[in-house]
Amino acid sequence: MTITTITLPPVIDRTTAGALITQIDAAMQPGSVVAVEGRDVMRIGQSGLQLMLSAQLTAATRQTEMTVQASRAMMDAATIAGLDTCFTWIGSDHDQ
Amino acid sequence: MTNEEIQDIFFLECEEALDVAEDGLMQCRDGLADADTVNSIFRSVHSIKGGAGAFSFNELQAFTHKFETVLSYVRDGDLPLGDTLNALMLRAFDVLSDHVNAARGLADTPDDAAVSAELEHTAELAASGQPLPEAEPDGAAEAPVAEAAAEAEDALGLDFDLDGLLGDLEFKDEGESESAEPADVSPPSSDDGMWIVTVRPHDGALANGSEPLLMLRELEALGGRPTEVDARAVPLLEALDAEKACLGWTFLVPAAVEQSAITDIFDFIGDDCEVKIERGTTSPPTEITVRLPEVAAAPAPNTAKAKATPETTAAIPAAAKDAPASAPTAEKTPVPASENARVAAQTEARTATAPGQTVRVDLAKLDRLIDTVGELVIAQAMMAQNLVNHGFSAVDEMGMLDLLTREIQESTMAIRAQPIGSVFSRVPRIVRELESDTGKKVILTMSGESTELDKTVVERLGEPLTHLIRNAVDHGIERPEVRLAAGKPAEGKLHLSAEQRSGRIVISLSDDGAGINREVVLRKAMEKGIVAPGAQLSNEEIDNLIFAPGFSTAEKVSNISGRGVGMDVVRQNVKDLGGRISIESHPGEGATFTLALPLTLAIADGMIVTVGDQTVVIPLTHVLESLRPESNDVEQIGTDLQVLNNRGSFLPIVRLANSVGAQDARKDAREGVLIVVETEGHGQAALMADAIVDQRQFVIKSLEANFQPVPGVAGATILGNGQVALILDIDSLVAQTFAHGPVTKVAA
Repeated sequence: MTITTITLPPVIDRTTAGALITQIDAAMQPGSVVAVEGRDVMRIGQSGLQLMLSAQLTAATRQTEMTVQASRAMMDAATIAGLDTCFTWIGSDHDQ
Repeated sequence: MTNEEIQDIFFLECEEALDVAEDGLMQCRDGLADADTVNSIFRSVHSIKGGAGAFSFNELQAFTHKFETVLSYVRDGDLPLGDTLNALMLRAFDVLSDHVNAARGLADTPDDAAVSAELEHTAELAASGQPLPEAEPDGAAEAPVAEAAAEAEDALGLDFDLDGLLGDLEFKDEGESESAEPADVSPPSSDDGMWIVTVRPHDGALANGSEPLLMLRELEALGGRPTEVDARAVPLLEALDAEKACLGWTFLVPAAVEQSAITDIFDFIGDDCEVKIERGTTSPPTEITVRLPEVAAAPAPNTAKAKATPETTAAIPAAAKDAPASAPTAEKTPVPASENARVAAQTEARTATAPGQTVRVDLAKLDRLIDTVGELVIAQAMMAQNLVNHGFSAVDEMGMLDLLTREIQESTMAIRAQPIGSVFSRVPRIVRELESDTGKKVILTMSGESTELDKTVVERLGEPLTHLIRNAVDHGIERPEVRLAAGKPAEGKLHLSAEQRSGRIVISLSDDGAGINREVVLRKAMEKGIVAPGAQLSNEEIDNLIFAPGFSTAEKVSNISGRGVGMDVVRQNVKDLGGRISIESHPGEGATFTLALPLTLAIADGMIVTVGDQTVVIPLTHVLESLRPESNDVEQIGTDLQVLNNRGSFLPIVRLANSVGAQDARKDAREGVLIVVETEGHGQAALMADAIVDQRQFVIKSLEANFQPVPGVAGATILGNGQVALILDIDSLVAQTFAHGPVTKVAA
């Protein structure tokens, strides 16, 4: 089993999201495990939330296991956007 | 609040108004403007005029009055937008910016006679119903701008705050009578239903540094709560485009909130976001409905509170367009009275504090806070070291303290962070002026404007960036006829971007011009004595010659370039900011200049090394690798100089002991550690130290502020054991050691 770790940058705007699409897409091979490390994310915008949602949907269709370690900023953005209940992220207790 | 403080607020609002106006004018020029665009420009200029009158900036007020008059004719549909009018409005905008700078005392009062005369003439033509000469109405001019005029009069959002403040001081706005009109206010009533706000950002809402989540955050601050998220347009990764907006929201905002408070949030987003605000339900639902696209296996929501409903993606456009404000009613659930009370209380608290979402802080106070936090970091490191010395190496509380200290440090540094957009916003004007001066045509695109970095870095970035843009347009992009002959479009492309990468800010400026003509550069460098005749240089070394002091390939000196100081200054400025600049040039295809800058000037990553009785810090930005040389890797040249054979490249070895005056340091390079560093002006070198102790972040203390400038030393820091360690200025240290640069070395 291949485990690929993808570390998210501190700021996920449309520029960084564009680069991450390719990276996450390539990592999501059937049967693989993708670990997204997002605890350093300090700011995430709509592009970033779309990316994370799309990644979650893609993982489901490709039978890929994806875990997301989310920072408080990510959790906060997801809550504001009403998507917190939709994401299966692991919370950010470490920076509480 | 004092008069000066209010005046400062006025100038800040002027900056915001100018940004809005410039965006609008660029849309007019690009044929993308509609009624709202023209209204936003009008409101911005109107706002500046009102404040200018209050503070007796008579020249500014007089000019804005003329500009505003023309804009009012455009808004009312009496003046159709066209090339002539767009060009005039852009010139008027530039003069207006200069007037604002003059009012701030940053520049002399501009000579506005010519543009004023044009504005007056244009207004006279419009008043008499005559068309502008050579005016070419475009599609945008046909937009019913007059229809939205009444609405604009009611939504003078930009000068709202200032008017309130001015009222406190009983200023008289002599030149203005209509600006006191209040914004549209719907009287709140607890009997009314809650506001149903439907928000659907379009693709443009993600461009130009805009961020729809900020609007949602403001809705939340008013007590709003999302009830429905339309995510049906979110595709799988293979079809995802980061530039496209795929989400839509329905928010419920408490009835007690004034409608104007909601409309203000979306005041400047224009057509980039579809917004509907309606009165609706009287009770908030307890669930958030997330509408997901239909895929093979939709993700399961992680709480029972959410209701995810797969939909077909084919239905999205129509559904999004017609998204009814009453959409949540299907999932509407009665809620207990306590919930209503909680929302009401939350709303009251939030609406009471909503106007105070930002606090203006004296920069000196902020810097004192940052200094204190720096001391805290040092004290914490010293305490940790002391505990280790006393046998307490694994104290849980120290880990917690370390975490908290870092969080405080990062939070305080974040306060100083500013979006780079404030620098980028000047670029369109610079390019416009260059187009006018050179006769070249340039299509400018920008990205990453919201990228944040330290305020000081942002402020000092303007000059080098201006030089780079001038250089790109003057030297890089060819004249239209030359481009056409080369099979390129007549318009050159210039792209400016910023992004955060590996803890640094990377700014790139790319053009699709001719690239660097290496033959000409090398010939000029030899003529000027920068390079020894017959020198064999790599392409990279030739490209970097343009940064040499006094270098210029321009045949004649103009006000744009040719004096040979620009690129040298650029490199020095970037270096002063702790950054580096690099070039990637492809002849005939264009060039990219890349600036890598630190996020902050107060903290840096460094390698702590010992040299005899001294401990010094080498900034990591310079470090390429470190190694313990084998005996045959080091060769002696003459009596003093040793060189390192680093995989075929011979690098001079710099003895740090000599540079910092250390005692009892190792004499032979084979006994120590060599740290290979990259310098701006002198290529690579190997610094010789006794040992590497640690590699970590350190707080930079200025020697200039606390002692005096010392050549070869960039600053100092305090280590965990309380010892002061010097931070080396690698460029000047290597330069001092080897007076001759790499070019001369190569040529020799």
